[in-house]
Amino acid sequence: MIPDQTPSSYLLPDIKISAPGIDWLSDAAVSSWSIDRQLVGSTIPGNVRSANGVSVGAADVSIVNTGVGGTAIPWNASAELRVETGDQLALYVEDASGDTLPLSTWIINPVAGALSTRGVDIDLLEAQYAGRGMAQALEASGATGDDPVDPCWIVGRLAAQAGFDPVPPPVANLILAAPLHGSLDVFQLGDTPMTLVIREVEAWSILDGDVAVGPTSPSRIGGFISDVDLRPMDVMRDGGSVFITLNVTGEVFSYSQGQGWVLQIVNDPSTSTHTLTVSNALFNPTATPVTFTPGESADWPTRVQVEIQRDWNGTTYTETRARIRSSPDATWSSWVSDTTDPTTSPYWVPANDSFLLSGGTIAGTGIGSLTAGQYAALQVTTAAEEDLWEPSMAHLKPLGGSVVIPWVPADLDVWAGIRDCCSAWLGAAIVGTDGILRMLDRDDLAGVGTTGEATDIGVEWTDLPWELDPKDSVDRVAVTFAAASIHEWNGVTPGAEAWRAPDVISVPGGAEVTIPVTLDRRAMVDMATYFLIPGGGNGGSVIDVYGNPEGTGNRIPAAQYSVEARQTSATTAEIYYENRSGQTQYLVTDADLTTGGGEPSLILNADVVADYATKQVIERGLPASESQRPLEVDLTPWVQRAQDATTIADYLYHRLASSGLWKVEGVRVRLDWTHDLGKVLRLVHSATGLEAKALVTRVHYEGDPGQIAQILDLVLLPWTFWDFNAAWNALDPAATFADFNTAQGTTRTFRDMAADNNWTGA
Amino acid sequence: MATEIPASCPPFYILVNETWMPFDRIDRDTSAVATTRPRSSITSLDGHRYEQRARMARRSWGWSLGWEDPTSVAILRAAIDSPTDVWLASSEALAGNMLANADCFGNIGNAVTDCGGIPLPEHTAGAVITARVRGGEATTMSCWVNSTSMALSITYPGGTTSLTPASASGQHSVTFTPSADGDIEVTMDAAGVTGLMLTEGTPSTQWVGGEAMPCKVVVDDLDDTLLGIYSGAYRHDYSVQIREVD
Repeated sequence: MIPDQTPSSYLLPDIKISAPGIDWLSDAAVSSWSIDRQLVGSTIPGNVRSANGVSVGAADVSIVNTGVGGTAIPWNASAELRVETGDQLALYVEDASGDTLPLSTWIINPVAGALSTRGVDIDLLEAQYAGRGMAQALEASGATGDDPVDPCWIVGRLAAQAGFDPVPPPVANLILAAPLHGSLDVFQLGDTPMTLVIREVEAWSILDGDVAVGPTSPSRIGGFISDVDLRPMDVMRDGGSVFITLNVTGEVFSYSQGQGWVLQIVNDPSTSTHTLTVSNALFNPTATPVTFTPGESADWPTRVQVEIQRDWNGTTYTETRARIRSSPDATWSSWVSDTTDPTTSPYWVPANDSFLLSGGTIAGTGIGSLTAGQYAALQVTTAAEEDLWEPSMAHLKPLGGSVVIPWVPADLDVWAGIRDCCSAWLGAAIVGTDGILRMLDRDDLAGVGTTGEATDIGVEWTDLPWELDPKDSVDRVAVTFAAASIHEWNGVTPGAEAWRAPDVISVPGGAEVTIPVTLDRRAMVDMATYFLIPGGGNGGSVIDVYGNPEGTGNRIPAAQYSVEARQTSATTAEIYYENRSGQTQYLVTDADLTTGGGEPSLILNADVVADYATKQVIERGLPASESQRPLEVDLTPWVQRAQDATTIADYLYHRLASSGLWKVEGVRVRLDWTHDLGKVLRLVHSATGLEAKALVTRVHYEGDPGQIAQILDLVLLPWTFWDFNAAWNALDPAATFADFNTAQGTTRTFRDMAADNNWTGA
Repeated sequence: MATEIPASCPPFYILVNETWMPFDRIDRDTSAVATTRPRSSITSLDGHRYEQRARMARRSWGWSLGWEDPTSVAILRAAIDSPTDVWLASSEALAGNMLANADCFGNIGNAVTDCGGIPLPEHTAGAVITARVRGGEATTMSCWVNSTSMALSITYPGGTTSLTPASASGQHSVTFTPSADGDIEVTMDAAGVTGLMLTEGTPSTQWVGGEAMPCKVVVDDLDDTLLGIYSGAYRHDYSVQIREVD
């Protein structure tokens, strides 16, 4: 543990550079350095005393050039010693006893030196910005309004594209993968994918610091495979194994209703029960459970992997057996098996296969009675791959909202998307100095749930520079959002229009072109690959094509071209057009049409299209005509329900309309390596009577020989009801505010209490 | 008791062009050592003071030579423009303790042993320290222990040796002769060793602080005041700055 500066004379730790493979940085000694990390929001401006968004970091370091030969210059004849930009290096702190603390990974940006000195100055950007400018592709969630997602799913999908995967990514031989972080989306491979028929989730919870389904029972996800492709059963009938790997606590059932097998995992630390049992038929598993040692994986303390085999004699299954382990290197438990005749189950339908996962009871069977299960990061595979245990690089947290049809505007890159989504939901995504992305929700950023780290500023701070600016408070909040307007194919005309080419497109003879489609203000949920012929048309892949840009003469027959489209994200698609003739072809409608003739004919339709054109506004505070300090925010497309927009409006108005809240910027504090973005401090100062909670929004280090200065920016946090309850609890540990409330009875109001000086609490 | 230095020893030795040369032309009272350790302090609102210090301090020497002729400073001139590294060692350091001061003992939190009257915390097992030695000189590594299971392993230019205490307490030592100038590496095989001293000669029975010598230095150009010609020779007053470097 790198110690904080507590002894009066603090021997400074070394700041070191780790840059494997970069010879000009080998043995580089750091002479001075600075690191600056702050929380930067977008939707809600950061200067109005409410912090949100993403962490942004910049650093610079000056090194003494002790590299091989001490000649790190950009024109060095040896390629290994030549100074270059764009490589990655890691900074870390190391003290005399060898303990280290990471200080993030950085990309080398400008490097400057001079021949007369041995110093080289390196500017650094936080390494995740290698992903900045990277186009994002948010998958269409498949939701049509029935399976809204928690907004943390959007952050999770974008973060995974930037290299911060919350769960192990799908492996090569998977049958089904369900990350279950905020959405019931699944990944599948194969030509006949499973059709998901059951998706019931009542709550998102936190398991191992990540989002998970449950524990409210029932929670079930699962799919139905047609008899064309009995994939898990095919593998097992051929003598192979199917592996189910997931994070789980409580009781979880995996079962196939038609094929009869049941697998029950209990991973319950509260009762120290860690067992696996199976049944060959869909009734209460009666085989003696086998126990396993939980938590053997350091990265995933609740992850387990089960191997299942079934014996098929041509007509029925004679045995189901399974075994379990809790890390890729652990020994498997012994097999547990059951040979009950599956045809005795009333649900035996051998032609059908299904894979179902239920946390808690199996609906309709009476099976399940222990702690309802919580599960996440599920993968069903045909091999036990090491990658199934990849550690998490992102710890998500439900942001407490519901996005009906999620989409990210195509012009936002990955990090801008994460920033805007977090900011709109008043949360934050912070990449820590250890390189792990952590999400905080709006309660965390409001200080709810913690009294804050006690900080006597008389002891810890050199000063308290405060500023009270009326511009930082508001008297009116107007939150704009747009609910998704869903247009569905009515089965008659070809689909709902997703995109229309703005101009007539010409394709030279013999050419193949790819036309990018970017939807503005729209999301495609389910893209059907057909196009519209104005005036009706006959469905199928048909499009108007002529030999001239006006649309006159004969339509070019379908054999002379081919057109198909592919959806690449919720808001982007690609249309591939091949001109199979020698003449230029024009995608234009028939000039003789009474309406819409001679217009661009390339129109992309989808089974479901959502647009966000209809805006609504939630207002708090003074009306617009009287307000002098209004705050107007537009949460499109992130917030899509009125109740979420109302919650956000209430939250903002409560915090920003409070008077007397000052801010603190640029305060030098006693060096404490645990200070980081999102930390809540409780400031006290007996001499001036200060007592306040504050949120750290910026941490700045300046290091010189013999000195490491740490400077913080903070946002003051208004008191919340949680603080009142905590204070009440501290006064009378036996009572909570609920007790107090009950003691007042139903007739006594707050007004009565406030007027009663003699109240004794009876 | 103070270390005993034979009266014939010169106060300093300088390694110039891989040869150790004695240097004894310094005027009395004129070898001043200055140390620079980067540090800073901040004061909190209520007046608490926090001081931060870098882990190392580097020294510089100022020598004055009076009434000398150029032959006396020839070795310094050779050092100024030497194509190889220049090293400095003082006889007192060689007889007292050649290690870096912080390497002689361990971290706070370990048990404390009385090293001839000075309490010092013990090293943790596996700790490794390095030091510079001179070739051809009989060099002694000594330490204090409090059980027979403690031991040191020493790797030096030309060989290895180890120190296994014969008794369970007190000061113990081992002597070796490096074949050439170079670094030695000392590994604490077990916890509990402290009060380390590295000397050329018999170590003191009370722990003496480490002087980190031989150390690499640079020699600045000489300041030169010509006093005149006396008895057919030019006489000068010289002064020179020598700085410890890495």
